[in-house]
Amino acid sequence: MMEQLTYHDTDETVYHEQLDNGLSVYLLQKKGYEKTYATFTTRYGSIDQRFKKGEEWITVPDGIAHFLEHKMFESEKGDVFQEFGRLGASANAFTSFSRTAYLFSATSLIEQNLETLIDFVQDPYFTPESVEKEKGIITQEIQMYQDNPGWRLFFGLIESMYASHPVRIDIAGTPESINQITADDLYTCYRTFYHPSNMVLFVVGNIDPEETLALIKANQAKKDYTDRPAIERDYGQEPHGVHRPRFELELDVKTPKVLIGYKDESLRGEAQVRRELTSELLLHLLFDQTSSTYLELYEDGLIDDTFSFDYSSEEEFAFATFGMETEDPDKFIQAYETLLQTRPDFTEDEVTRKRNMMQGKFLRALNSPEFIANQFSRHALAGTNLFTLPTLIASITKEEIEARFDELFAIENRAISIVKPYE
Amino acid sequence: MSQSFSTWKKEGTSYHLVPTDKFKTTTILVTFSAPLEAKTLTSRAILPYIMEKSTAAYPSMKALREPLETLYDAGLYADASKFGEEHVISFQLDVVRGELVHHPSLLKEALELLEQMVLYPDLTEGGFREQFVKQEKRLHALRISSLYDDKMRYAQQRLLELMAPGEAVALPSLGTLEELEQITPSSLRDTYRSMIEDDRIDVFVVGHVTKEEMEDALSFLPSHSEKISHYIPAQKAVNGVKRSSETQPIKQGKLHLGYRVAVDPTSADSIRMQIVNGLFGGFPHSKLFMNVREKESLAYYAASRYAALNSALYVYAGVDTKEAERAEKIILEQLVDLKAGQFTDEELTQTKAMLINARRQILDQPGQLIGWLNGSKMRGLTLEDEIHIIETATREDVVRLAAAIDLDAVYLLRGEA
Repeated sequence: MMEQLTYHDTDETVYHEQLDNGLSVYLLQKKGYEKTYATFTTRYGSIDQRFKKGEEWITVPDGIAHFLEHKMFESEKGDVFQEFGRLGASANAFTSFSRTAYLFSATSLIEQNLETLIDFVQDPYFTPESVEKEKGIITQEIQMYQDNPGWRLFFGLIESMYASHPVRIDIAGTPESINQITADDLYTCYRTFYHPSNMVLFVVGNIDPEETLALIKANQAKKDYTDRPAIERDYGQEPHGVHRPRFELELDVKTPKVLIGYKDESLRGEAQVRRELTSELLLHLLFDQTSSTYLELYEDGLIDDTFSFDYSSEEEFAFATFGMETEDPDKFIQAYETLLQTRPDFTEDEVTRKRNMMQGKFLRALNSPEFIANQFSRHALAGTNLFTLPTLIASITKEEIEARFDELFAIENRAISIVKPYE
Repeated sequence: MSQSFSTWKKEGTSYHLVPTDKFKTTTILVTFSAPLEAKTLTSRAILPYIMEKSTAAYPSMKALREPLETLYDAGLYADASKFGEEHVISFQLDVVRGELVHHPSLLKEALELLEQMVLYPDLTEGGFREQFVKQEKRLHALRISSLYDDKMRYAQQRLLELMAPGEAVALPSLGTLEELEQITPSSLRDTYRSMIEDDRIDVFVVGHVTKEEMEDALSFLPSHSEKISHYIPAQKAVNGVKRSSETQPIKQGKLHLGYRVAVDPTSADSIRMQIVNGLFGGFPHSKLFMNVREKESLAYYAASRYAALNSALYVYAGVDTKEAERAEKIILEQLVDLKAGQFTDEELTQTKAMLINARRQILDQPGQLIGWLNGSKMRGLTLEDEIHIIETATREDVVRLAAAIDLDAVYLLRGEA
């Protein structure tokens, strides 16, 4: 039976049903929109490289989830991109640390496009020849990222924060690791992680929820899925503290870039959503242009438009980062070390202002079907709900934010990554 | 598609309104346009960075940004960009609809801040505040040199300079370090005054507002005599293929090709040219994607882009430097095939369907809607007109227009790492 969830503070309604084969379907009607956007997401990403196959633990080559994503677009009938093209839709996919998502956006022939999306993701087809050919393309994709200073800076930091957790592996792998991938490996990963019970289908647009659900149900009823035991994954035993406190890399750049990270403990479910929002409020309070420190740092050239911060969290890991482009990374590091030694006194007014700001940010993001589908799926796979964010934000207190400061900024959890010009 | 648009003029300013209640926000863009010239470019490029940070009444970032945060993250930013042979300074406001947060005067309060930013910058010291100018000059120098770190943008800038050396369209959008040196608090004030007094003003609004509300809200804008726009660069003939290459210690080579396109950017043919571009390198079913990437596994990306305003088409691919020659050969062959009509009816149908899909989606994003209104004002066509032109284009149109594409320049950034 379809569950209908209305969120009055966002003026949106989500329809949900979990099908017999375990697939979770979510539908959101956006009246007046031309476009329908659908994502079909599996809880399987670059970190899932060690898992149980039958009775046996196996380790697969780095970068295989992303490789599989590329190869899914090949079907026995040909290239799936072409099929979407004929239907006037644009299709794409992306692989992150913990998810792989396939998607399309279209303004017509929605039913055919939706069936095409579901069918191609549920119909793997790999040959040794096509697997070989993909290696050249992905090697070029890896090289493109190798030349991207921001990407190298980020991964330099992740590798420094984590000693053994597979989050430290580049999502696309390396030219060497992908070279080992075989068609059989791809089938193994596919069978393990693409069962409907490990996936979420989200459709947002000017759709009729009843009709769309009927179509999805009829499609799934035609396919034989048997129940399957829960997936067992192994992310190893990540020690406390960071792997190495500092990492430097020389690249062909003009301006040095520095990124500081604080490794955080990740909680489960709504507790982590709350922790994520509290951390974001904290970072805004510390580093926004309205913070008490910004002007001071700005005058010393220690904060400017190239400064950015972020809090990333998934079920298995969480960390806060901030950094910028600067001629003198060490001066920057020192200033922030001093700044974070003592917690500033936040006022209730400031906290209220930041809560308003986060509410507004969230509401603005709801203009975007892409944001809704991607973020809702992320939450659904973690057992949480995107649309509880406004209520959660409103309930976070100044005391919680202050406690977060004391927890997050421990020196043993700090790592630094620097990209600088060749000497 | 039933979205209505209206465009009108008042006191020299052109207004473009898309009334709709489907978004959670109201978006307003005010643009100031002047001829693109080397001597004013750098000054105009840095001006918005200074103007968005403070005003006379809100004399610091903190003072200006605090009320915006309270107003539910109202976005208020200034920006600069090139548009053909014009330079555009823009001020954008986007704000959550008041009724969603039980704050009915939200838009009005945010507009007040937009007015402050545009009309009342901090000139209490005579010019802009010396301390801010100094900081921003340092930052702007950083921005200019950072272009070097983004290899795709760097290669594209080099290609533009190769195609049109010394011309306005090839000027770097952030300006130059030499010009930056010369900027002072009072020279910036003069740049600001000239923007207010001499520039052509356009206003774009997407949201749940009426024409009257909008005129009333923006009545603070200076009134002008009508200004002629002159942003469309003259067309250029090709005179032999220009070549240039450089080597940097990077892993992947960047191959960029520039073509001249002998098609009037204000004509319906410039819409049809999108089909030619789509078949050539605009989509995953295009010749470049299918041959350079899928068939030969030479690249992760190999694509083309038609810049109607500049009467140019650009191809870019990230390739192993050793394979650059082979990649170029394959790219050139794809255009030869296209000119010879070697594409299937299915490819043509598919390309049209994708282009129409992309046009319809414009209506779902305030920013894209404004971008389309701005980019299409030179043609005077509606979105429906454009879709009709695409739907009715023929195979003969494609062959005829492909013949108008001529290779002008090839730039290769070699990797050696």
